[in-house]
Amino acid sequence: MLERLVRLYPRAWRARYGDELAQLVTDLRPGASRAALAFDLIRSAVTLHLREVRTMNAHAMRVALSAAAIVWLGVSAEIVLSNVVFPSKTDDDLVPILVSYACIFAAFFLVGRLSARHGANARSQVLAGVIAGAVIGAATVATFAVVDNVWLDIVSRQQAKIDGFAHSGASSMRAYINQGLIGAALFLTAVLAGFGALLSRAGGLSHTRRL
Amino acid sequence: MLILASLAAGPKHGYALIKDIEEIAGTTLGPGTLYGALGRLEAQGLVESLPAEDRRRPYRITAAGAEAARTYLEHVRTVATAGLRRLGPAHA
Repeated sequence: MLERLVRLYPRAWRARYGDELAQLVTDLRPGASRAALAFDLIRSAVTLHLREVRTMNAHAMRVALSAAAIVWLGVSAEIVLSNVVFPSKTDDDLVPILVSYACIFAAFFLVGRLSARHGANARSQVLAGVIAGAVIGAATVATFAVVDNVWLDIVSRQQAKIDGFAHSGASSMRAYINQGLIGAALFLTAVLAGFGALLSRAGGLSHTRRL
Repeated sequence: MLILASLAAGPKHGYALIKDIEEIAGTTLGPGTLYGALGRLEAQGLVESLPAEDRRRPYRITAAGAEAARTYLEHVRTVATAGLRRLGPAHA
C-alpha cells in the first residue's frame, strides 16, 4: 500500500529513484509509523512536482519573454515607420500588417518548440504561449498609444481616423484615439494570448513528434 | 549536510543512511525526504550512485561533496566556537 505512493512522484524522477524508494519504504515499514511514512512520501512528492513545474516554467517563461521582446521591437519599428516616418493617408498597409501577424504567429510556434526542447510539458508550453501573446498584445497597443499621442498631428491625417472621429462623437481626435486604444488593448491582448496558447502547443507537439 | 556527513564515513544505501543519521544527529529522515535530497545532491555532483544491489543502491560522496561538506562544517565550527566562548563558562 505505502509503496504505491511512489506512483505520486514525477515520472522522470520515479524512473530514476522509484525502485530504490519503494525498497526503502519496505525496509522501514516494520519499525515506523505508517501515517508518518505516508505523510513524508506525499509531502516529498508534492515538493518534487512543484520543483519540476518551477524549473520547466522558468525555462518556458524566459523563452516566451525573449520572443515577445524581439517581436514587439520588430512590430514597433513597423508601426513607427508606417505611421510616422512614411505615413500614408490611404489605408494601404495590408501587407505590413499581414507580415507582422505572420511573424507573431511564427514566434508563438517557436516559443512552444523551444520550450518543449527544454523539457516543458504541455501545460508549460500553453502558459508560455499565453504569456508571449499577452505581452506582445499589450506592448503593441502601448506602442500605438505612444505613437498616436506623440505624433498626433501626423497620425490624425489618416483617412480611417478622420472618418472614425467624424462618426464617434468624441470631443477631440486624441480622445477618440485613446478610447479606441483601451478597447484594442483588451481585445488584442486576449486574442493574441489565445493564439499564443494554440500555436505554442502546436510548436511543442511538432518537437515531440520529431523525436 | 546530514547526508554528506554520513556518506563521509563510506558508501551507504537509503536504509543505512537513515539509521546512521539517526545515530549521529538524532534526526529521523523520512524516505521521501531522504530521496528528494539525494536527487538534489546527485544533480549537483556532490554524491554519486554505485551499482544497485537488488533494489538497494548505495551512494558515495564525491570530491566536490567532501569539499562542500568540509567548508560548511568548518564554518559551523567557527560559529559554534565563537558562540560558546561568548556564552562563557556559566553556560557551558
